[in-house]
Amino acid sequence: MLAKKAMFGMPFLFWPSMLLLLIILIFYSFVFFGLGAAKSPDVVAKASDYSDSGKLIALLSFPVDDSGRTVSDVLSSNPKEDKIKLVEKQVRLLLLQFEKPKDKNAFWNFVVSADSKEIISIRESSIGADRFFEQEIYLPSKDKSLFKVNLFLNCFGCSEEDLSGI
Amino acid sequence: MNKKAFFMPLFVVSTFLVLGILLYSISSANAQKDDVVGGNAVALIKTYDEGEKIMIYLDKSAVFAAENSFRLLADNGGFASKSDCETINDFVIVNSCKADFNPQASFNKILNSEFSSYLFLYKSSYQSFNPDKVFLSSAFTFFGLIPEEVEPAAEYSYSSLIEKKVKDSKIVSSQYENNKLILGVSEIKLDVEGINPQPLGSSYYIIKPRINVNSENLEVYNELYNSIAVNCINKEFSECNSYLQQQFKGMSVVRDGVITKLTLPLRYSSVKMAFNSNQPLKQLDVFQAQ
Repeated sequence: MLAKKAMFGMPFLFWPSMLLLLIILIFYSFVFFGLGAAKSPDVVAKASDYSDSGKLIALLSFPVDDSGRTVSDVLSSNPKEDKIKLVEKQVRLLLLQFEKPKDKNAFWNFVVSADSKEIISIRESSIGADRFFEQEIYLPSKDKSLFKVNLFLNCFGCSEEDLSGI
Repeated sequence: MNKKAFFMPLFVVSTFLVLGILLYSISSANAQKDDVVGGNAVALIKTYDEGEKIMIYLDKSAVFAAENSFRLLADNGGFASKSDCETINDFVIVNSCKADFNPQASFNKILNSEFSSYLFLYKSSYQSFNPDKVFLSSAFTFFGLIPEEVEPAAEYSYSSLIEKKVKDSKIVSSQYENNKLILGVSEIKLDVEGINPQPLGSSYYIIKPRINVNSENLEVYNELYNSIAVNCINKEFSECNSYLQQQFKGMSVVRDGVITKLTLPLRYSSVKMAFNSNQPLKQLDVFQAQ
């Protein structure tokens, strides 16, 4: 009798309606909480948005030989193989000193390219790693062409918190 | 008909509609929020950063332009170009030039042209500030519920505007100080990228670059020209040769018929000049009066 009352006298409509209600609730729960529709949008700029090219500029201004020529001076003067190797060696040492997220597989990468050809490529990354703090600059060469310098952090599984101190 | 029987289906339909309206209300309100806290600060930092990169680019360009200009001036015998002069074995015959001999003005002309040729290549790596997309905002835009953001054409993009300003800059002043040439470049006004609700250009950052480059002593050109005018025109070659060798260290003098060819090494370049000893030099009266 009670069961009959609860079903409002229409057992053939009640259970399908309940099922439909359940589906609707699951669907909206997914939309609101799973996809984040109920979440207020992130109205605050992220820490990573504030990144500038300070590291790259500092690196390019670092002297590579006794004459005081900097990394950018050497790169922009159409250097020969031995000079490129000297710059590469110096940059590798400098990259090791750059701060990285602790307890993560993270590497600073440095790439110099001209006419889509890489002149210097210091790359290290792990599979599935993401790029962070991408810094890029175009500089002139003495022979009136451009070369591009890129610096970025390759990190696997880095979160906002991991990167905030860098 | 049992009216109670419709309660449950009605409840289900009502729940679906109410939750749907709630989803629309929240999402459309969120999608219309265009103010990002810290967005303007990010835009300002990015502008300063771009300014630093421009300064490095201008610095390198000025150094190369100055080196090239000193070399070209020396190759042209102190003139801006060889086109107005006769030449012998790539040596400019200074008596034949139509333009006045003014090494400083010629240097400035060459320098501006060389500097512009480097600036013409300038490419900005500015990445526009890109806040995260709000959930369903593209769907609302698609259905016309919120206006679509119109992206400017590539030539009007923010980085193109920066590139144009750098390419349009010029050398406006030059002064010599302790063997250095200090070049003043026209000011570059960088508008800070407009982050809602601030429009583009409501803030700006001005850079006034002053660049130090290694300098050659251009007075040597005047001294050389003066010496030729006074000691070599209508004079014996031996007299001229001994005077020039004595006056200018490292100079080589070669006679080729009536033409005398000179090579004078300077710090960063080597002056190549020729003259016809039977023809007067332009502005000779100026030197004779001295």
